[in-house]
Amino acid sequence: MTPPSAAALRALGLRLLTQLAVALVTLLMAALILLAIGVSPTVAADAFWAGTFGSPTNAGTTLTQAVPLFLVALGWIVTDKAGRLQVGFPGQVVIGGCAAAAVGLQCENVPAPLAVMLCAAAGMLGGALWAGIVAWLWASRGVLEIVSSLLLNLVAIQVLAWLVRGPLQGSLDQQPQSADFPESTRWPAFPSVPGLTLSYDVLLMPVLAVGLIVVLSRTSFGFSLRASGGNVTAARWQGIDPVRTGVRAIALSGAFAGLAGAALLFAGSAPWLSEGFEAGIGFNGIAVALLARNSPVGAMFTAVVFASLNVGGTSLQSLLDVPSTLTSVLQGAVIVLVLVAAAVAVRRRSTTPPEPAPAPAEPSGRVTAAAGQGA
Amino acid sequence: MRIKLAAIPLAVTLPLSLAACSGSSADDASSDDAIQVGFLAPAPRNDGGFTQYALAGVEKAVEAGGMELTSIVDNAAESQEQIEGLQTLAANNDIVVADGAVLNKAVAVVAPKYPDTHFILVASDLEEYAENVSSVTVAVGLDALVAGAVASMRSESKKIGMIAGPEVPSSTAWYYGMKQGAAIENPQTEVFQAYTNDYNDVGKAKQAAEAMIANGADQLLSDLDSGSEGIYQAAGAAEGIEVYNVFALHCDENPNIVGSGVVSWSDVLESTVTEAAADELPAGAISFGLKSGALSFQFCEGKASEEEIALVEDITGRISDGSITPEEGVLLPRPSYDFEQR
Repeated sequence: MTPPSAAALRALGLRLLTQLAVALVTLLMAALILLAIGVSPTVAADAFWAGTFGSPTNAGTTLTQAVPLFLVALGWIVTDKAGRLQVGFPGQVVIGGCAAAAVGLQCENVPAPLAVMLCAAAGMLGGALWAGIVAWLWASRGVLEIVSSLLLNLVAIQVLAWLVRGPLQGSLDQQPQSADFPESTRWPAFPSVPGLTLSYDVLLMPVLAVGLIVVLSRTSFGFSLRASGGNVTAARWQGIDPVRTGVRAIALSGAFAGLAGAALLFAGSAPWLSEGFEAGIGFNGIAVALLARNSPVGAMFTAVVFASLNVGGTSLQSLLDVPSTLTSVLQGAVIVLVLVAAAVAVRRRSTTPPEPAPAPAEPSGRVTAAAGQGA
Repeated sequence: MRIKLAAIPLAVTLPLSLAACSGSSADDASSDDAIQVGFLAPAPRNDGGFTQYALAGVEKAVEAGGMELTSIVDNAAESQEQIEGLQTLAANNDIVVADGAVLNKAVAVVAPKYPDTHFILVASDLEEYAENVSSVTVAVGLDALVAGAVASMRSESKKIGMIAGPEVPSSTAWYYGMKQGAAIENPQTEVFQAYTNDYNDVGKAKQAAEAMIANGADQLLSDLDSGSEGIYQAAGAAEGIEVYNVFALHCDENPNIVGSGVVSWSDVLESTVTEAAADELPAGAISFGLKSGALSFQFCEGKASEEEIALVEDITGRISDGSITPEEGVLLPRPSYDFEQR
């Protein structure tokens, strides 16, 4: 195996430094906001820690909530690698969740392992089909995927509103909620964690992160994704159909988002379908991927950061009356800071003089330029 | 560059230094003997409507003594967030007020885990009886019945409408009540309904009101909180449109307001929290009706004719003596377990 070059190590160091800087600036902003509303940041930090990782129960909640964010982030990474820009994750999470709920509610007498698999599969299928509309519009009608995916989010929300008031409404008092899902469909949790808050689906994070890395780097499908995203003309010259690849990427990302929808419903502590169950996961998942610089491994950690912001925000409000909007402000700040950091990095790259090319080994040797594509 | 690098530790140490000087919210004095009360709502605490009035009632009960309102969690719109908020509140309080129709399932999940905490679920019921939960509802449909009769009498087009947020029983009850009340006054009166899915979205409310006005409605009831402003704007832009509020009189907010189906959530919460603190609030469902005084239809000053005042008294009396029976949808669905009508 070739050891990493100095340039690669420098790039990695810069990336880590950027993420550290984003985290520090976010912490600074949080501290200043807390001081402005008269709450000591140290006391807030205590409450935040207590609410997120202060006990096995809370740590389980935080990690379980990170899974849907991570799944959406993977969806973003796949489409980004293919050079497509779809932002329909909220809608795909919603439709995936609805499909999983529709199946789950019928699984009363189905054995638990089969019921869990059926719900997960239904979620993936629902998300993939919803994303498939975006892919079809783009591939066959030339509709920009960013526009159609964004608009389909609104449609998905209305579909959910109709379902919880119509076919899937189950509550006796006519609230817009489904009935509780059967016990057999609930995703199992680690029995050692009190309150059963840590779902086994956290194991999906390392498995899928490694799996996606392998697929992207070691398979022809992964190569076709990267080639289509890197240079469409070059991809065509290599016999790759960028349109077909883009369609597959969008559908696959929808499947990830749909699975996230199923995870939200069946792995969380609220086992029923209700309006708003998506809870901003769709867009926050994009931020998770951006903060991780589209690295599947990095997304595991940034998903946990975002999940702790959500869980810790509720804890801060419950214990210290810190407004719940603080969490949203901090999440927005992270997104803006990541974008600023990316812009600074691009400017730095464009102004840094290129390193001198190594002297050719032989007088007749050719100098080749490798165009690297950032991971 | 060095300056920039030096700024990072400075930026980190600055808030920490300031923190050392600032007071701690958690250290605020709290009496050990006081009964601790927590409050959770899916809407903002200052929504100008349901949540604000309920919180005001809790605060009044707390001010009466012996209690302390330790935490308020608002804007908890999503089930998972509601469960986490309720769990944190239940772990630190003796009484937890869950103020919202959509909180029923979250309360059902959390309440059994904290048997020593008394949960007061507002405007909703549980599907199953819980030993430490009292659900408090108000029969708003009875108020709506009176409002519907008044609106029908004042309407020239004989078309009236109701605009609400989410389509939940506590909102649809306003529609069904208005429909029955209007039919009592004039069977020809048409009643429209629209749901914006958000009690505080001014834009959606305005669109819904404009659509109703375009269809001929000239009397609009707003079952909204700050979203009512949209209805005021639509009414102000048209001729002869009159508006009715719910929960409280807002006569000074707009000249087109005629009156309100007043629901005194503040009084309801004040009494229930006080009873819970005295360990006198029974578990199960409690519905506040016209007899309790929690409901009444009230006109803005100078808006009502003698005939309309007489109509309100007549309908209210007939509901109270049972000669008007609420039709389907007017009352909230009743649970199968213990139920107390006040």
